[in-house]
Amino acid sequence: MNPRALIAEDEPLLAAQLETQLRELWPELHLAGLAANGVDAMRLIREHAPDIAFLDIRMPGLTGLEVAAEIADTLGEGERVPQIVFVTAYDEYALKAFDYAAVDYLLKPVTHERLAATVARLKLRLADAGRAPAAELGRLVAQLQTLLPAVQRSAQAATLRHIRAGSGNTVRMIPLDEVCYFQSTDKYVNVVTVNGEALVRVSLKELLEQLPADKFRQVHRSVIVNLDAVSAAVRDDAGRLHLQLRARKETLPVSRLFAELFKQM
Amino acid sequence: MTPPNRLAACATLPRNVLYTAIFCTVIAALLAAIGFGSGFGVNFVYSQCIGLPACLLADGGRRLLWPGRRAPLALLLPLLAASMLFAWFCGTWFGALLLGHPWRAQSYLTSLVITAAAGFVAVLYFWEREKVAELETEAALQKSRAETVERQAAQARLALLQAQIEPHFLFNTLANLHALIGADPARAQAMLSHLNDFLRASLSAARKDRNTLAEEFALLRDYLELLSIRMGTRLAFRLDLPRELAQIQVPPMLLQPLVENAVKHGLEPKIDGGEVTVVARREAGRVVLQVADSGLGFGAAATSGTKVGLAHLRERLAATYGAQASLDIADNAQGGASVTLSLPMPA
Repeated sequence: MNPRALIAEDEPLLAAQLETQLRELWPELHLAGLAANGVDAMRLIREHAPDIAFLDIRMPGLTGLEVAAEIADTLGEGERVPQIVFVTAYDEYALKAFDYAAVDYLLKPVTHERLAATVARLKLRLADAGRAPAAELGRLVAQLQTLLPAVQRSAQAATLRHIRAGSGNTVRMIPLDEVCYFQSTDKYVNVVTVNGEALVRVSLKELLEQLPADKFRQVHRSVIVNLDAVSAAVRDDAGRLHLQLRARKETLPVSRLFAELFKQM
Repeated sequence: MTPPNRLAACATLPRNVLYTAIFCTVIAALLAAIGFGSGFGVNFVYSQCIGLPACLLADGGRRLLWPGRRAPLALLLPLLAASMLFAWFCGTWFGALLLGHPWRAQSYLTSLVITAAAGFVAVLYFWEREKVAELETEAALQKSRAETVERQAAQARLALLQAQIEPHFLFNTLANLHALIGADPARAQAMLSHLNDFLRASLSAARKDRNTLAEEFALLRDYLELLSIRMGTRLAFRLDLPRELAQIQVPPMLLQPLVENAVKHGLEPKIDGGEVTVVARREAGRVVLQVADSGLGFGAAATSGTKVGLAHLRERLAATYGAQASLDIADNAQGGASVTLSLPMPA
């Protein structure tokens, strides 16, 4: 069966150029879809399960890295992992990081020679990948761990001591110790304490930068947890981790990317 | 100024003690020359015995009491008088002891007058020296301040330049050009000429103090044309500059950072994209410039980093117009953000 690829690129001229170049270099490759943003890319990947995904890093909706993280998270054990090739115009993500791991990257403008090398590498890897999906998934997770800034958090100045949550004319001051977890919703972040909830209008990313790293960790795309509030990490039948909390009944999902935080000693 | 440190304040005390010793020697010699006392040797012993403790008490005392600053005169004068009286008493007594003279206050009264006169001259001398030194320090401080201001201005120009030619913008534009050259050479040429004009305007803005609004809007048009080639149908824009305002002068690249923010934080992250409008109008004798977009809006934009840009813009407005310019940011009624600048109408 011919291999199938998806191109996710928000700039139409660049998407068209990559498509043309791929048709020339790899006539057997079937184009399973063109996505102009991260959300469409995720949807098309779910629908068509392509063998290869070319992901632009800067896209509206979800970034290429976030799409890859989502793929790594939602795949069941033993499912086939698409080969991911990141495409970027500017090496803000320290391209060295891509060199060490096996996933490929392309720098725009994509030249004929460079794309030919990528195609050759992809053909080799596709022949290999069918045999060991678990190893492929592990490789992708390891790769993303080096690339996603949220995973490789360094010790930085944590300035926040209270969460200031407004409701009407009042601003509630919530000490960090009382916070069990933060969960991002559409436009807000929900601050969940032992006995209540409050909404704040900041992004999870901004919040994470100001929280003490030894105590508050991101465990999922939409969740930052207070490690002191966690009582146990439980693995379900599908191999996914969930956190149980001391003072709350609900459980929290843990992304594969952050699972190492809860490995036994 | 560094905080006062008593030890550091005494650093030049030994030098003043040395000057005092020389001054006392000169006085002893002068007195011997006019035939006062029993010769240079005896005068020398007495003048040093009085002069050195006087200097230590007066100069040392003021340094310890008021480290690193000028002493208030009302307190300094009693200190000087007391130091001299005490030094005269101790000095004559100790000198008499050294030389084996009997000590009687009456026989040393002339030396009290000499001590007072010499002390007065010495105080005047040191006072003047200190004033000169202070003036020199002040001049050096002012010079370094001027240098700092100059360096900051140079850094600001550099930052402005770097902000305009953001690497992501440049590389993405080049990548699009690369794609167009093969697919549509005519459009590629048009794009290249927009890039050329935009880069030229950016580079010259870093060296200029003023741009006309016509130049500013031309630069925005080039910038937005480049972005709309990249973003395709996701970006629409409208520029509206009435002819009567075209020659109004403003700081160069005043609006470009606002348009960049509108696209970067409002429209680029929005899946459907949207429109940017830049409007200049005359309102109650003022020039009003407004950059509005139909993007995500200030509150909802997940991308942060607009604050630094806006703070920088506020500084530039304050530096040019003082308190006469204002900058207002707001979320649009139809979603998206808008920034409004209100500038005084030039006379």
